[in-house]
Amino acid sequence: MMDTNFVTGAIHAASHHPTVNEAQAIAQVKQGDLHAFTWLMGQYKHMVYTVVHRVLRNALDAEEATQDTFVKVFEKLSDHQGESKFSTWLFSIAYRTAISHLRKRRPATTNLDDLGNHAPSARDRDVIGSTDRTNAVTAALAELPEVDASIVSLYYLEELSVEEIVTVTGLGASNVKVKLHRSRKRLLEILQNEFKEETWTLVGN
Amino acid sequence: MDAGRKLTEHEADRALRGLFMAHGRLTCPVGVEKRVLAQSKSTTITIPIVPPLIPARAWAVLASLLGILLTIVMIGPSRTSVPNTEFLIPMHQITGMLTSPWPLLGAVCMGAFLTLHAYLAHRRMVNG
Repeated sequence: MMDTNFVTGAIHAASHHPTVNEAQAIAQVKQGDLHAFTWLMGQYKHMVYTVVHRVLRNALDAEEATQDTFVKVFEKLSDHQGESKFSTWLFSIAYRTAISHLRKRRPATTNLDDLGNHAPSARDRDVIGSTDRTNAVTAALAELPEVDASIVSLYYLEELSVEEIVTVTGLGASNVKVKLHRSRKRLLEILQNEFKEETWTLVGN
Repeated sequence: MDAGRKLTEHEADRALRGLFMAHGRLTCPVGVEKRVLAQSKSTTITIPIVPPLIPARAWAVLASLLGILLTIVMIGPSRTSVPNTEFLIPMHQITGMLTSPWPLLGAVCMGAFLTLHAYLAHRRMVNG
């Protein structure tokens, strides 16, 4: 039975939690401190949600994958030895969880190469045409294969290096570079068409 | 700027990074933390018990040795009652050693060693 008072209390306490240092928070979570864990979730939930959403392209699935990611993080944090940055380790769990959800949703798909050739669904395309820039970015990413879209997000949004993306995705460095190059080209085509002159304004900034 | 000109790779990177930074982040729905906490609370996490770098037994042996040494120095053998103790316990050598700079140096080394020990133990706790 869920102890709602405790959970609400933990969330409230985390908002006033004195933890400002990520390393301290991680050490406290390793000792089972749920307040510190809530603080960590607050720092990373939007990033994790964005990464899994780029793979799953569905709000409900992304929410579930985000939840699963953080549960895994809580269970496995003691395994994190600090050989990679915490964020890289977290994104690695998020990415793998999202891929696993995608495979469950699409049981016929058995390997990552197949995921790469997935054509965007009609639902994905519905977002295109919206004047909202966030939706336009989401729609442009929906034109890319799931794996490529998440790589692009990790690179441009989370500012991960190619080496870190290799750690997160388990793909080879040359493969990541090729996917980035191809995605950059494709995104520019779509976005230049979408934003017309505005892309040039961004370049000029 | 000429809109027909092809962007260089650097310009394309800059444009995309700017666009993603401004409009690429999605907002996680409210309530995720609550559900994760509810699930995590029922999860038993294994806290690894890491043995200390210097075992407690070593500290006990060291403390005992120091205690014995101090007792001998403080009580000291009575020259009148036990004249032959000089052969067993070289008192003048022990007293000489304790009043020399060596004990101070030893204490400084031990202090430095304990600080290193505390730092390594803290680092190990943080890094898992």
